[in-house]
Amino acid sequence: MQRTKLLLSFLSLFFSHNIIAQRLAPRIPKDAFAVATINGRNFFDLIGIDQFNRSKIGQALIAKLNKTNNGNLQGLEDLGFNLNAQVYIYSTKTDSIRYYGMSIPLRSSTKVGDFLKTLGQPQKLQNGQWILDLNEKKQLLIWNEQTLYLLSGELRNSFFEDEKTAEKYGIVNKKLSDEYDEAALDPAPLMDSVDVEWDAVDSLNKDDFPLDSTAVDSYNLAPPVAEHEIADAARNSMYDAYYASIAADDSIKSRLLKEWLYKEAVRLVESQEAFGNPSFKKSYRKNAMASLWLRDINELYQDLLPGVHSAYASLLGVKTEKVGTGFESANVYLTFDKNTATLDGSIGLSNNLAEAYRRIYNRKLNKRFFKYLSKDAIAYTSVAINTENYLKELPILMQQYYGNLLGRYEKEIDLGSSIFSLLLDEKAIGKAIKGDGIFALTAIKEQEVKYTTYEYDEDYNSVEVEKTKKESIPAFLAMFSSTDMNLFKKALALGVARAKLTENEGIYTISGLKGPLEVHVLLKDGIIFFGTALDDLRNIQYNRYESDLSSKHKKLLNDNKFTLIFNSKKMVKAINSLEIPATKQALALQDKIQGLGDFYFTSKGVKGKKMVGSFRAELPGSKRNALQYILDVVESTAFRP
Amino acid sequence: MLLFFSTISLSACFEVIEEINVHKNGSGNMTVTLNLSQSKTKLSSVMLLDSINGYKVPDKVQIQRNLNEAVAILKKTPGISSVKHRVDFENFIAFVSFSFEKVDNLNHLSKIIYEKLKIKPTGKSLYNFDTRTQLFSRNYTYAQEAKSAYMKLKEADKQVFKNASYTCIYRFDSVVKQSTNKQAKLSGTKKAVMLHTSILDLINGRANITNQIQLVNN
Repeated sequence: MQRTKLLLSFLSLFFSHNIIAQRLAPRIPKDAFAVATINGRNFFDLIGIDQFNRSKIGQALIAKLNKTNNGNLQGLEDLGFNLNAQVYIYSTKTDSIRYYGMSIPLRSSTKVGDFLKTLGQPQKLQNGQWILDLNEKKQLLIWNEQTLYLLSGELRNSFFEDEKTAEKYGIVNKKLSDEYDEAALDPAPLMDSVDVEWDAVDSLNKDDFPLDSTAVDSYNLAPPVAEHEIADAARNSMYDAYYASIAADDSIKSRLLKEWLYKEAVRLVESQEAFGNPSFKKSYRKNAMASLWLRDINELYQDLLPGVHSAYASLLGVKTEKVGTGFESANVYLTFDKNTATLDGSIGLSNNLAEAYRRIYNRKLNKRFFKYLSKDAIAYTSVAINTENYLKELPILMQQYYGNLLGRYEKEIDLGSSIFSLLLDEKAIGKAIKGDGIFALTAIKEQEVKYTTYEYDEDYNSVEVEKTKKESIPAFLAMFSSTDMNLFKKALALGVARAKLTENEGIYTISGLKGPLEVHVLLKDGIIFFGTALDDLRNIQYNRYESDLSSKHKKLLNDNKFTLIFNSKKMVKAINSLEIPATKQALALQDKIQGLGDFYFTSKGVKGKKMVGSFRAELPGSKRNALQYILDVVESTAFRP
Repeated sequence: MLLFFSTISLSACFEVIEEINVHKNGSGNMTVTLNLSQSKTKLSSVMLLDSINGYKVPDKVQIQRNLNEAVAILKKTPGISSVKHRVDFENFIAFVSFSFEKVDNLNHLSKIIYEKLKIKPTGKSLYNFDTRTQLFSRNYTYAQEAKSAYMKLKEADKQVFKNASYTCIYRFDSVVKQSTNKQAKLSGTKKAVMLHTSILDLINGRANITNQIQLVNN
């Protein structure tokens, strides 16, 4: 078992090779709806095979593999896999089963065969193929000269819930509730009438009935054991029958799973049909270490939404076959270069949706914000959307998405959308809140905090006193643009009138907030500022704020519709200054993070016909490349002596 | 008595104050105050979380319920009257007070209160007041388990006790003639005795709160 586990984890780690897309074909079934690709060449380009073999991870892996391989393994290349080729992990599905497969190109099928024979007894098929049934795992291994496939499957329960299908396969789907329904037919005394009789007995005056032991003796007080036993026996046999039925169903399902897996394995190795999905071919990225492709996001929704057999679905009138989110295929890529690790993702959009999102994202971040950002900020996040367009598009998007899905309520959703549009003055709101803003965690500042304690008079009577102490508290500054400040001016004036706010030289302070934070508000140059540090707001008010935002961060904020930037060094310092009790693991992690550079989440919104986003981690340049750095971190944490 | 936090061990600093007023006839009243005000910033943030350091953070309703339970028990106890309690969630201060007929009543009641305030005692206390001789005594026996339980805590949780303190104050109608605990201080009016110690010392058995207080008998 251990060996299988090891093999699987090992297989998922590497390999690949730079084959042209057409030649990949037979290694992925043509109906795959999700494919993950691991590019071995890129992996071993960044970390040489010799270096990997010498690493602690490599050594541990070889040592474990050698336990089953009689110590013949010098390096991973000796296993017989083609470490420079691509490994594919994919999934296909029918209405009855979902298959998960992995295909690994081989350099020497003999070597691989020798190794796999240590896991079980493979059978030889026609055309020189071998098949090995990993019984306990419900997995099949099948290989020929070029490729090893690993195949597993999962039956879809919904398939067997259909009565006719169940009958066809001899599945009973017995439910305990069926038994109860039968039991309910037995006549039983009504509780109410029993209670009434008991109440009547209780209300009798006991003194009227002096206890006569002989009279009591004349009753048979022995409990009706026999009847209970019969009832228990009936219940037990009911449960026995129920569990036996489940076991019988399961054994049929297991047999089916095995049978179907076998058929699928043979279909795979014999298939000459190319996996020619154009969206997959187009998505190929040479430099990606790993990538994931999903054929259609709508399929995911269909799987996640209640199935066609579900009572809820029919109740809501959900037409799962009609899911039309407007999202299409999706891709994720993992790449490493000199000292950054990047995860890029994109989702294809229908023409309509692409247009709608383009309109929603039709907003550039207000450049004046940059005047009020400091490079010392711990983190900041920005967003730039067009509020007016967003409010206009929202009902249309809702109508398109939910209207299709909840067919029965299409008209109601349409009406709701219309009311929404009617009630809102999109243009006015769009002027008041343009839709671009920044929230910055600027610093951890020391602040005087009041607390209650006690002092004692000369008779040691306690007197409640208020004292102050310094505490580190996170400070933030938020800003968003507006071309019509009237609404905010009125709101602030109202706040002052209602004593919820205080005003001092044009800066408003929200009073009565729980906790030590004080929030101040300033309106200036078409920007609404919120912040905890009064001095920051004063500096902004009198144009004294010194901005030193790096040009790199300026560019990031400027080029994206959404940005989240973390300065990991400052973050660790900030957490430390908050004196939050930390566990040893947390401290170890902090130590590692401190050595890292910035982290970025960014999205340019819509690019072409795709919604795009990316995560980037800057790693120290102390190693030759980012992957080596990560390997080093893994080794120093996981393999600590 | 005292002490040892369990599930709300998330604050950085807290104080426990135990005040006992004893009249000549042995009746009196007791107030127990748990003051977490110094940690209120952290507590208000922590209360927003569901759990921290693997502990479930109790919500206001739960804290209130615990205290209500303690009060219900007190109210039902013979010899106990005027039971009052209050929780101030803004400053994080909770207190329970009640009147007793005899000092002996305290022996099991204080245990209930600390249990409901989620404080584990670091030892056992026996209170007694001899109305004839006017001798008030509190015999405290340190429980070794307190230290071993503390040692089992995660490093982060141990921090909680770093600045935690325990204060007990006894007030009497008459003047104190003698107080045997060297750490305890006598008030200016000589009618009250106060003992202030760190909770860590109690946990480690370094502080002894046993005291025999002899009042002037006239």
